Amino acid sequence: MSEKISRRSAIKALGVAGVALAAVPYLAKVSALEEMSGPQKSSPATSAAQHSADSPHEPLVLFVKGDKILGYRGLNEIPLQDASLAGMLNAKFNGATR
Amino acid sequence: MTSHREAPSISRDPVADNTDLYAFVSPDAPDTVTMISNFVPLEDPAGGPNFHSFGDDVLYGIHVDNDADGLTDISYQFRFTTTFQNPGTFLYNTGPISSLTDPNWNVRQTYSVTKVTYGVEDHESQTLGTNIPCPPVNIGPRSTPNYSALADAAVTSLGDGVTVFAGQRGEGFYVDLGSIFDLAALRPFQAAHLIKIPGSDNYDPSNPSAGVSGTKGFNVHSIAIRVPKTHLTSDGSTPSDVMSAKSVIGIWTSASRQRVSMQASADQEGHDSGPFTQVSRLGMPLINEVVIPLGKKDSWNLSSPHDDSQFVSYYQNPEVQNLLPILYPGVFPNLAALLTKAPSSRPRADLVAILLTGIPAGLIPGFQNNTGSVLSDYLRLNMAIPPNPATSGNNPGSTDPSRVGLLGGDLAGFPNGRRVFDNVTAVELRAIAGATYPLVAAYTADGASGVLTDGTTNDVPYLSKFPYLALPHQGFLHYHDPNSPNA
Repeated sequence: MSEKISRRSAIKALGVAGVALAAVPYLAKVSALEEMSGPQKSSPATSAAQHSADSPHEPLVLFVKGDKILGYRGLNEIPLQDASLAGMLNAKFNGATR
Repeated sequence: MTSHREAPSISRDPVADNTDLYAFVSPDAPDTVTMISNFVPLEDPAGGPNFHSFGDDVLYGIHVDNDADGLTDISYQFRFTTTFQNPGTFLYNTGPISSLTDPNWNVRQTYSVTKVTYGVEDHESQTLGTNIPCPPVNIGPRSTPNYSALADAAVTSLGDGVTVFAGQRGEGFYVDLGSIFDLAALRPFQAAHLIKIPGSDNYDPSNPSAGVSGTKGFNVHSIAIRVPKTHLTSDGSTPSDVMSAKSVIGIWTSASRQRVSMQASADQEGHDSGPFTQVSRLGMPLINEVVIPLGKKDSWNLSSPHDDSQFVSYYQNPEVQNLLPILYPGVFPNLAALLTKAPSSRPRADLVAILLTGIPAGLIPGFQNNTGSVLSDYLRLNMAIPPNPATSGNNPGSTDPSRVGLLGGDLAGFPNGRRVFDNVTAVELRAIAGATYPLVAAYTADGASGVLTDGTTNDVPYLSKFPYLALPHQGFLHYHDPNSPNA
């Protein structure tokens, strides 16, 4: 399935996360949204998205490694490549404790 | 086992662990095909109070490729939901369960079925059914006194000729686990094994060649769906020409989980997030079990059949083939001689055909189940071949040639799909030992390759009606003590 994630949707999704609120100024720089793609008929698991409506109120889970950020919300996986945002998130969480 | 606990990662995730896949023209409804995918290996029938079930967080799928391109054209997807009627008790049931709506039944599962049809550019989803009840597990004579009726009530028609069942069944696969995983010993031939053991160490000294099924007495959880053949062909036609490519479908099954799973804590609920990703798959039996090496097993489970060319070297030169002449010295002289050649000069094209492309026309008179050149680990079923009337009762004798399908001259049997009673262990052992190599090369098979078996058979009768697998063993009369009367 080939599914483009709009910049507006990505910003909106990140806003839900709370942890990224301070990053909003940086999000304007986000321009390298990768296209989610795969062989149309070879990924039956991905079609499970059909079982569930979009889930704007689902929490956002972020996986940050280097300058790559993977966001998970509902049944979506949102890949980003943004060194400044990744750096800011790392700085925000370095040394942070509950 | 065919795919029970076959890879390191999935062995720790039983509810997502595909154990067996069956696909055959329904013997009592020959215009339809039945596909069965089993999960949860080696279920102990007495495993309460939280008895075995499907995973609510797992996406189960049975997939069909009907145009020979190695890509899925139709998926039947299954999602489960568990509900407690009374969370204030530890009991699975608070009295006898006499029906699927009995208030005594506390822990229930229902499921939905979605058909996804894939096109070149997009796909279409169609919900075939929701809130479909699973039967309870078979607990014992006090809790589930009329289990057969409960199970029958869970066979559900979804309309348009589609019938489904999802629930506990008796393990239908039979295999001598204890012997095979003890350095590939086959009890009927163990006198010829490299490592001799005292006769007193045999399980049954009076009949040392008898196999001992390691799956005897265990249950599984089965998802079964029966659909008209016309739903599975690429053009909606009824397959009638055995030699037509349109008559052949490839079938595989999978289990998927969401990418992210956050465990619950004392003050926060757990949460799953992200798209589903495949964690288990199964096509041909025993492949990830004994053909794919340890270091590749997890990646095999995560990959698509469309990409199986990356594993072809293991099919062309399987480890079991190389072990047989060593573990059974002198028994396979022709195979031993063959193996003195470099692997590149003796690729097992017969195994590639049986396991990855289907058997092309011209090798076996009146038969083919070829799906082209794309290497994909599927069960391949030629739907134009009618079921064998001699096996319509689904319980041929343990030495009946139908048990070994094509090798026994029964075109309706494995590896033309797989019926519940097919002795897939014997078929694959014989093929790997060289019995099928003469189909593609100038080679004389060893006599032993034509009779290899582990000596096991099913412990309880299969059913002659959908879903064909036997009723599950009950917990109350289940024993591990070999001296017990029902052991």
